[in-house]
Amino acid sequence: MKKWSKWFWVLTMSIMAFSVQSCEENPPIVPPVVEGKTSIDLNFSALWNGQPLTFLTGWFEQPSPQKEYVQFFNFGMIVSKLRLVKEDGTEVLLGDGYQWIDFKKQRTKFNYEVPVGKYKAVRFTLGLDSAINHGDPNQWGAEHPLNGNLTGMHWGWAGGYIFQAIDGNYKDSLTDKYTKGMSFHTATDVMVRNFEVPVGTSMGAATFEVKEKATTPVQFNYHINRYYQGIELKKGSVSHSEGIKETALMQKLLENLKVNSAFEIPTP
Amino acid sequence: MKQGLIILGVLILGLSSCRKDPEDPLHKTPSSYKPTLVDPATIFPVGKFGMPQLPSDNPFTEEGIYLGRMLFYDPILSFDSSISCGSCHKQEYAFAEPKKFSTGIFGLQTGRNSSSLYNLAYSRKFFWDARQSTLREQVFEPIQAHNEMAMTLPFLAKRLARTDRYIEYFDKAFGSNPNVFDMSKALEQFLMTLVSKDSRFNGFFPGKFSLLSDTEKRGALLFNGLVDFDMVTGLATGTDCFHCHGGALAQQNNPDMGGIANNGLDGNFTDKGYGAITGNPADRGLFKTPSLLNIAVTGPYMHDGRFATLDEVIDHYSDNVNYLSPTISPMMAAHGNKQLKLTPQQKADLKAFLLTMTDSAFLTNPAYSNPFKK
Repeated sequence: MKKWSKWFWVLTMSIMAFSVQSCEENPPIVPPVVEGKTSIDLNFSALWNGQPLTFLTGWFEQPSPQKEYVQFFNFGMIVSKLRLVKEDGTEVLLGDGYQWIDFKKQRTKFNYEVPVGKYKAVRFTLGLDSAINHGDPNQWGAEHPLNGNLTGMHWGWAGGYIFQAIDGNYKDSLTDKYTKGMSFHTATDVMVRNFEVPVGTSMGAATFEVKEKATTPVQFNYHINRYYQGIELKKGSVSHSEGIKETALMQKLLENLKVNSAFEIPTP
Repeated sequence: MKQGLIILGVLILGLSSCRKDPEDPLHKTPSSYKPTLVDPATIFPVGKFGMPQLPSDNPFTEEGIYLGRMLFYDPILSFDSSISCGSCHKQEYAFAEPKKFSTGIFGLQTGRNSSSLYNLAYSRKFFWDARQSTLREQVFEPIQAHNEMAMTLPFLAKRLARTDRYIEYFDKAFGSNPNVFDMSKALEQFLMTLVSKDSRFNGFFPGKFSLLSDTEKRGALLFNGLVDFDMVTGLATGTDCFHCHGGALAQQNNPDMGGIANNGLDGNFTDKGYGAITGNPADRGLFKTPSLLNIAVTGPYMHDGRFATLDEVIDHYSDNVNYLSPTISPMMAAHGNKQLKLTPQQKADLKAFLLTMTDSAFLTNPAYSNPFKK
């Protein structure tokens, strides 16, 4: 009886397993194994004094004697001619060279296929060539970085793109009850800036190597506190890159990016 | 013997579970009918607005759009078959309703003002509090809301399945029996075809100023100018409307660039809006920024319909912005917390410019009208 019972359960379980299995659709045809592509994952990070930038939480102390405090609401940028520089000085364009980076939305990591080799720098333009800047924003595909409806980084009527948008609030002190607005929108042809960011630190240049059929991570840090170096927000917390005062303020902010080495690609 | 019966039972159960349920509308044997595909380029004015991001699993078909249109206007979607989507979203008002709050079944009131509906394919957030990201998810909410249509989805599915026109059109559009999943896709198709593109504003945008009257031109300059004040007269030279209502769509669709914002209505929030969705105190009092196209007919204004007229709206931005509102848009607070104090002429200019955004062709387009009305 015991033996019969054992075989009963084995048979029952087998039928059940078969029944369940037979309900599945035909297994998908497995494509042939594709070997890994040769690529980089370019990852942008916004940092404040080395710590990841957060949005709508906490207050960051301004690196100025006034000790103002800032809070971020939005931080995006449009770059063009984004490219790697090989050890021998030749350049490799990343995709079509355009990218929209949005730190709040964490649209910060981009995969690009690139040739194997050693690379020593990243070059890019913050902003766009005049023809593109004032061209039809509807010419771009729905998901292209220059599609103004996707990014919101286009000043419809006024014409032209916003190359970098930083919005938030500031306070004179942490005990200040009321916040004031902060809005820095980089735009217009005269605010276009080119950057070369070497791999490594000021202590020494370096390279990173892209190996065949592997994805190499490349970290790109934006030290946003260096953008604010020496800026007194109570004297000017708004610039839309127009008008005498706001143009001067934006030029100072952009100068800070270069003078204070706000961009960094750490040695791998 | 007993065990043998059990084995037989399990075997029958196993085999029967493989058979498709003949009542399952999604597994209906497809008919030979082939729906007529509609090229999105014929729906969307690519030259004016660009091509929107469209769902890849819901291609436009003539049958799908028409099915969605019927569903939109059909009161059987509400529990007591008394109201349809079209009851609170009327075409002549750009699919808004000229009431502070709308009335659902049993006379219950909605909690917010009825949103206008057009150019939705370009939006990625829906409802005043931006709580939904797709139209097909969005449509389920008013259908089930107790103070709107108060319907349950199983009951609705049964009701649709008993209706001849839906048996025919679900089959034609999706090759299925009536069901709520394909219902939401049909509504998504129809809603995305609601395109407003022929206002005078869209005719001269961007920059064909010669087509504007003098007062409209002055209004356009205010609308599209950054906030600043004339050093001699002290008058505002720009009102910076364009940051949140810019572009050909007169709407910012990036939530972080003004697409979801607190426009300084209140210091304390009885309705937390987006903040109630995210739970983040910094989002309290933020609401989706609406497009200003057809603004002349979409009143009353704001999420709670507090402003009855366009003049009251302009008065708010001119004189009554609460700059101490704790989550006010940084772009507004960046104006130095100073009221614009527009003159009556400036207000009239701004209004004249806003009136150029009315698209009469859209408001009367028969393709969007109630198909049940003869």
